Amino acid sequence: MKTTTTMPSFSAGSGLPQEAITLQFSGKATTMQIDALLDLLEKMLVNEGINNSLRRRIYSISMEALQNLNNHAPDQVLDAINEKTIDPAYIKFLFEGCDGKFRIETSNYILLNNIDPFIQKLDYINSLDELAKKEYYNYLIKNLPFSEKGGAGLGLVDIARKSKQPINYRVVGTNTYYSLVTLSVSLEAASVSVPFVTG
Amino acid sequence: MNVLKIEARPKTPYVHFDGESGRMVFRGMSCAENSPEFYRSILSWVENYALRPSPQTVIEMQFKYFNTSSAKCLLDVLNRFLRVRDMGSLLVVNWFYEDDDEQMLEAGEHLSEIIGYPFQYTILQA
Repeated sequence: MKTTTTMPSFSAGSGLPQEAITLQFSGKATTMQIDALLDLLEKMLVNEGINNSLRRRIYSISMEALQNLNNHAPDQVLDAINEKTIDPAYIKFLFEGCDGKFRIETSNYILLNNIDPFIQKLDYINSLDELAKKEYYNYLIKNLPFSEKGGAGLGLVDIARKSKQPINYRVVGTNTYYSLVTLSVSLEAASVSVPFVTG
Repeated sequence: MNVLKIEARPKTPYVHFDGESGRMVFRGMSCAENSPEFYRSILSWVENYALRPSPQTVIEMQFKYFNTSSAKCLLDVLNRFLRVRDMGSLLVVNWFYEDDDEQMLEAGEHLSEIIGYPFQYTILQA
């Protein structure tokens, strides 16, 4: 069973473990909507019997992705939405899972002036192995100041670290001022179910 | 000044810092979009505490989730707590995680590595 929806609300679909589970949101979300979406996601993952470790990775990645989408968007994008010069329906979050494989995808507007540095940052993160991602995270957390909205600038590298996979991206469209960019990461149950011990 | 107590909310943790006993507790979620706003008063309290700390400072960190904005704030809090050693206080950082929450264990090990101070790890039954 697979359920999708368009603006402005979200919906979820879930079935037997071998079937697809999906959760999709389109539009500019409020903080309360993001919280409700994350609650729903966690309930879906619990219902599907997904283990604690993987469930928390999926939740954390989704939380960073949603907070990046909705709370750290540049003011120009928010203004453009308010002035109806861009369509918020293209801002999207999608989670889907099937047979132990999961995908989290977001689409968002990026200011045209910022698209090259953004892509360069993604390419750089994708070129790093796990150790180098950690070192890059360490560098950023120690040296990058908070943004005006309280962002730490760690979201992308954190998502890459938690998924242990490259962040796939594509520029879906561009107009005079903005590019619409889609990011996606994949997770597999097997890649995070390693037993661990500690001293 | 001796006690800082903040009740838990859906996206911010329970905080109970006792300046007399030196027991400092974080528990719950830390996922606010603007974490620096929440941690401002905590940082200020720790700054003052580090000037005249208890002989022993025990930090208990028990998070379910924290976002990257909170991670940076927690790093700032821990760095301020490290100063208590200069005033002769014995510092212990206890990091709690559920028995199959590999991510939270890794997060603790990573924070410990960044601040260059060992944590003690305690497994909680999920």
